[in-house]
Amino acid sequence: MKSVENKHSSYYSDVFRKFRRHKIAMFCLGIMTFIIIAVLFIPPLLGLDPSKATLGKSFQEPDGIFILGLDRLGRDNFVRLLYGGRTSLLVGLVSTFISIIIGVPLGLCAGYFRGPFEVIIMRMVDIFMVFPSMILILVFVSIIGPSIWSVTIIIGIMGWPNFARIVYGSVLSVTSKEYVESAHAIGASHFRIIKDYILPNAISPILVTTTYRTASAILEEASLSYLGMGVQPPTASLGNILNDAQSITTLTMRPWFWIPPGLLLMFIVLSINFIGDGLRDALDPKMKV
Amino acid sequence: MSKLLEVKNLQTCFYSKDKRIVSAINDVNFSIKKGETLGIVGESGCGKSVTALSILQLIQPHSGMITQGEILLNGQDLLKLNEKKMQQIRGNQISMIFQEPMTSLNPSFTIGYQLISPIRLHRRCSRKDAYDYAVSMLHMVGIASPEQRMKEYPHQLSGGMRQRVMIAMALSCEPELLIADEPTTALDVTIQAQILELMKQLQRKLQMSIILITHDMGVVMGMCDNIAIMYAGNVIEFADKYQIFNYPKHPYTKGLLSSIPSLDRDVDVLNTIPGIVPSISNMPSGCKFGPRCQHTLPICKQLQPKSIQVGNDHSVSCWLYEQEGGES
Repeated sequence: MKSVENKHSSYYSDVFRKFRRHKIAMFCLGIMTFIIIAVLFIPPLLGLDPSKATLGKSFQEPDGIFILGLDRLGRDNFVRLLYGGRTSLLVGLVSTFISIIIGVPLGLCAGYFRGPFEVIIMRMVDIFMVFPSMILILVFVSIIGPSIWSVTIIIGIMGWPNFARIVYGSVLSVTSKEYVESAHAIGASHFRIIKDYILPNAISPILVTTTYRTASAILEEASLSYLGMGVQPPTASLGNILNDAQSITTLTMRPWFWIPPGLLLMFIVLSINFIGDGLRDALDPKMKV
Repeated sequence: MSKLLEVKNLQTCFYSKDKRIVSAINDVNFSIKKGETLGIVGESGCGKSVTALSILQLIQPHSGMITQGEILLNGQDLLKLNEKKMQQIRGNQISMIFQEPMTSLNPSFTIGYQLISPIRLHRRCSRKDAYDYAVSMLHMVGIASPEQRMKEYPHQLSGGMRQRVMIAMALSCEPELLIADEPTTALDVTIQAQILELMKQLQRKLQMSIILITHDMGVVMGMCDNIAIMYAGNVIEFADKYQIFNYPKHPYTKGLLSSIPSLDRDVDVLNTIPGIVPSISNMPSGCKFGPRCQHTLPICKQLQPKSIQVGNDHSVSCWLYEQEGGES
């Protein structure tokens, strides 16, 4: 009996074990943890203010106090980098959350009720997917006006097709299972069937898509801010920090302006993607590691 | 005794790939009394399961629909009820158990959770009462140490035990009618006998009717009172089991019975019915069994035979008996 009992907790402990064996994913999880702790806790602990300018010291080179130097207005580049990282993570997570809120229910409806729902929702997914989203986002932002919240909401709305499609797929594969039919036969309502039978089977693909989508939302926000259509100064974001560093003199003479935000962005996006890969392999019960 | 369920002129259609509508079952008629067992017998693809799913209205709306007929449960037409009312009937007055016990339970929840939810759905009772009741149900279907099993997941149970759990779940609200869609096909013979015996026992205890869908003539003989033989979407013969086994009328029924291998005789070649069931999108005209029948008359190719009475509660759809039985 003992060995049987051990078996049923084994799926999640198995997932955990497989994830830990995924070396790159574990390494990236370490990096992400480090970045999150750094951007969340360093500024309040040290009482840093991203808008505080040291007068008369524009473009000061790195030294012992200002490890990344000062920018055009005499603000500390390092502090702005940390706040930029915060903005990126915030926009990435909140907009992905919005995508989930919209995409998952729509995908469930399309896959579960089929018929006209399926046609309308899935064709909308196709339309959203084939349209270059950057252009659409630019149009919407210019209508609503750029700010951190408008960018977050619009990126969130543009991300729903990813979730709708992945949920739709897993719903289709589950609804044909006999246990769903037998749930109907004992008189379970649609809500109960979706909650107890369909969603648990769609959780792993949703989790994996969440990581990928967060990474691309962060990239989209950075691109928008770089173009000046995203997060507006004085709020710092990795994109507008890079935008500030566009002049030829800065590019050639002051690499500490643009290398750190570029690297931070790269590390965040790559780490999230690799964590997603690790999760995908770990959640797949067919993968034997 | 009064009729519990009466199915009249039932027709269920499906949409084919090229958007045509094809009927899977046609003009199906049968009835079942309280406490009685009806066997529905036929080859694969003859519409047995579709009939069962139609009674519970579990046909997926995007794949097909019931186009005609009446399904009367205690005189009330189920086809006129809305989905909400139907949900109250499913599991409560009519329950169903399925062929494949290995996949009929939700792998992500414990047995206990899955047993308790239909009880709480149809009966107003506390979680504690529902739990106790579920344990007693498991005990009733012969599962040892039910409290332990309540905590386990489906993959920890064997096929026979899962089918017992399915039966417990189906019977938990004491339905008046149990539809068993090949409940023992996926189980090995000894377990099969145990499950059938269990069903008979519970039937006596709960005074319920059973519709048993199967292709095993031995099972039918052991379990049923009446038998409906289906072929290509029609009930072609309906009678009590002694009539069917001793005086089969339809050539197809005769063929089915003679293809049961006998233990007493030594034969080299097993008896078979030549040909295969026609596909529902390409039905022969006239009698659907015509192309495989050894007694075809000229009229068989032109007109589909109507159901006629050939004895006390014995009806058959075959032109061979048209003269004897007179007009239907």
